[in-house]
Amino acid sequence: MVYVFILPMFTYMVVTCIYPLFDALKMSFYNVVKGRTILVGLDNYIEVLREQYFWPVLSNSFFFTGFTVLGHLLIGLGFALLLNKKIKYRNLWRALQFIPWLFSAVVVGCIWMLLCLPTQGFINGALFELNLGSLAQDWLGDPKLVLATVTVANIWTWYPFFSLMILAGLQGISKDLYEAAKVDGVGRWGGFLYITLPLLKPIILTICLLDAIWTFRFFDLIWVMTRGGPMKASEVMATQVYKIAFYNFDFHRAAALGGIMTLIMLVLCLIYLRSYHSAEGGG
Amino acid sequence: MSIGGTMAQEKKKILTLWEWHMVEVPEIVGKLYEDFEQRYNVDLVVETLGFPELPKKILMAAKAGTMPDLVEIFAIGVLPVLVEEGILEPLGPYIEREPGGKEKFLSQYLDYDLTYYKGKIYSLPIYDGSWGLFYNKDMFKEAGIDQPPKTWDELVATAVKLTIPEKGQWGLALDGGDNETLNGAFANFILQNGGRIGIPPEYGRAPEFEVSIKDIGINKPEAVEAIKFVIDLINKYKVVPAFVTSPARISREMFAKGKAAMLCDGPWNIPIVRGFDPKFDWSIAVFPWPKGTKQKAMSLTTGDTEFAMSRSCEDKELGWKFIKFMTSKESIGYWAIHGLTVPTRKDVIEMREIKENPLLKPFLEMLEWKPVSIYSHMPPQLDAALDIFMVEIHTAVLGKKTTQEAMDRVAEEWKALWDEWREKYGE
Repeated sequence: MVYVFILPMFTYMVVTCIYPLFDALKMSFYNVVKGRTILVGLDNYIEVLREQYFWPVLSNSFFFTGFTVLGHLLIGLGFALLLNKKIKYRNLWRALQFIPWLFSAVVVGCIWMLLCLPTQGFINGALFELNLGSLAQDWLGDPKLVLATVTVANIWTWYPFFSLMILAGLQGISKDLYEAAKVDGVGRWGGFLYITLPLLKPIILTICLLDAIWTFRFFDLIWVMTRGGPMKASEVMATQVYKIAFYNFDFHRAAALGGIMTLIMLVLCLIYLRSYHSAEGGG
Repeated sequence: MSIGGTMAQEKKKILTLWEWHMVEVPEIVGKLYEDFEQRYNVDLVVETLGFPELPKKILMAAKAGTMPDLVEIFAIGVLPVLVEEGILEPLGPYIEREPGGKEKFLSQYLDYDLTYYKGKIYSLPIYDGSWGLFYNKDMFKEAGIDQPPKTWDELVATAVKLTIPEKGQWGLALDGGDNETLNGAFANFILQNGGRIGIPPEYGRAPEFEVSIKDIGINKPEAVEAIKFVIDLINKYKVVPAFVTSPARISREMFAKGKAAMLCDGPWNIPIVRGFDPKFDWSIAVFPWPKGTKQKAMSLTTGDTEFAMSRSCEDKELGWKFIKFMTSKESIGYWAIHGLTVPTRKDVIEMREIKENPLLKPFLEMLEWKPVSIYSHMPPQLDAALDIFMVEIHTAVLGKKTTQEAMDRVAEEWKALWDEWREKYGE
C-alpha cells in the first residue's frame, strides 16, 4: 500500500528530474561528427577541462557561491538575532526585511544594474552627493569589481530566506537554557556561542548547503547584469553552459560541463550529509 | 487569430506559428495575421516569445519533435544550425513554381545571401537592418552646430563639443555591452575604412575547406585602424559614456533621455526612441565616413526578421502561402509604413510613403552604397563569434591588450569555430 502512495511522486520525479538528468549525462558522451551523432566517450569532458576559460570560470563560481553563502549567513543571522528581540514594531520590521526576497532575479538584476551604472547610477550619484566622488567606480565595467558587485546583489536578494529560517530556529530554543547559563555566570556572548550556535547548527548547515547548491547553478541575475562580462570576469559555470549550448550550438559539450557541475554539487551534498550526521551526533 | 491556444472553428485549417513581433509591434503584425486568416480561411495559432528566447525554443522543440508549422527567425543567427539539424523546409521548390520561376520571384527582393545555406534558400525577409546616426537637433543647435557630421573628423569634433560631463551630457552613445557591439559600434567604421570583418563573401557561410587566419579580416590593418578610432572616441576623446556596461537598451535610453547627443543605431530604434516621448527635436543622418574615402561602404545586417517553414509542417502549401503573404508588396509595405522599417522589396522601396519619409531617407540612401552583410561572412555559430569579439574588445578598451593583440585573438577563435563547424557538419 505504501508504494501506491509513493508512486505518483516517484513517477513525477522520474519524468521531470531523473530521466532528463540521465539523458543529459548520456548526451555528454556523444557528439556530432560529419553530421552523425557518435559515441565519443570522455572526449567532451576532456575538451571542457582543457578549455582556457574552464578554471577561471570554476574559480568565479566558487567565489560567487562562497561569498554569497557567507554573506547570507552573516546578514541573515544578524537580522534573525535582532528580530528575535522584543523591539518596537517588531512585526513590521520582520515583514519589511523580506522585501528583497519578493523580487524575481531578473527584477533584482535590473534594479542593481541601474544602481551600478557608472554615469547615471544611484550609487555613484550618492557618493558624489556625499562628497565621496573619489570612491565612485565602474561597478559592473571594472573586471576587478564586477564579480564582487553581482555577489553583493545576490546576497541582497536572498538573505531574508536565511533570517526566516534562523529566526524559526531561534524561536525553538527554550529561554530556560539561557536562564540556567546566566545562573552559571555565562554572559550574552557565551550564551550565543555555547547555546544559540550549537542549537542552530543543523539549520545553518541545511540552509548553507541548499544555498550553495542554488547559487552554484544560479544563472538569471548574472545574465541580466553582466552576461558574464567584461572580459569573462563574472562568467560562472551556469552562464558558460548556456553559452556553449546556445551560442556555440554544442549541446554535447554543454552537457559535459553540466555533468561536471552536477558532480561538484554531489560532492557538496556528501560534505553536508557528513557534517549533518556529526552535528546530529554532537547535539 | 488565437494566441497561445486554439480556437478551433469548423472546416478551418490550422497553422501554428512561433514569432516575436507580437511583443514589439502587435498592432501591425496582428492585422497582417488576421488578414491572412480571412483571406485563406485559416486559424493561425500564434505563440509569441521574446526575440532572444525563440531560437532556443525552436532548437529544443526540434529535439522533442514539437515544432510548429511556421517560425519567425533571425536567419543570420540561426539558419545554419536549423538547417543542419534538419528543422527547416527548403523553399526553392515552392519558389520555382511561382509565375516566372525562381529568378523573377526573387528579383522582387533586394539581394540577400543570408536566407541561403549551402546553396538552398530557406526563408524570406521582411525588413532590413542598416545603421545610421541618430542625433539630437536641439543639442546641436544649442552648441551652434548646423548639421550632423559627415566625416570621422567631424564626428570627433562634434562629439567633443557636445560632451559636457558635469551636465551628464555625452557626445556619442555606443552599444558596448551585448552581442550587437560589433555591428552597432564597429562594423560601419571598419567597412568604411575599406576593411573586412570575416572571410571573403565568395567562401560562403560554412566553407568546406579549412579557413586560414589570413582569410579573416578582423585583424587586418584597415579593420584594426577603424577599431582603434572607435577606442579613441571612448578612451582618448572620452565622448562615449560607460561603453563596457552599455548594452543597446542603455545606449538607446541615454539618447532618448537627452543624455547623449548622437547614437549609432538602426531604423528599428525609431519606435523605441518615440516610445520614450523625447522632449527634444531629433533626426537621423547617414553614417559618417573617413575623409577622402572613395567607396562608402556600410554594414547591412539584412533580413532582420524572416519567416520560414518547418519540415514537420503538415500543410506545406498553406505554409508557403503564409510566407508569400507576409513577404508580399502589400504586407511588407504595410509593415514598413506603419513600423518605419527599411523594406526588403524593391517595389516597396519605390512607394511614395517610404521614399519621402525623412526618418527612413538616410537608411534608403545607404542602401545605394556598397551593402555588406557582415554576419554572413562570420562563423555560423554567430552568437559565439560575437561574444568572442565582445570579450576581446573589452580587453582592448580596458587597456589589457593592444587592439592588434585583441583582434588577433578574435581571428584565432573565429577560425576555431569554423574548424569546429566543419568537423561537425562538413562533408
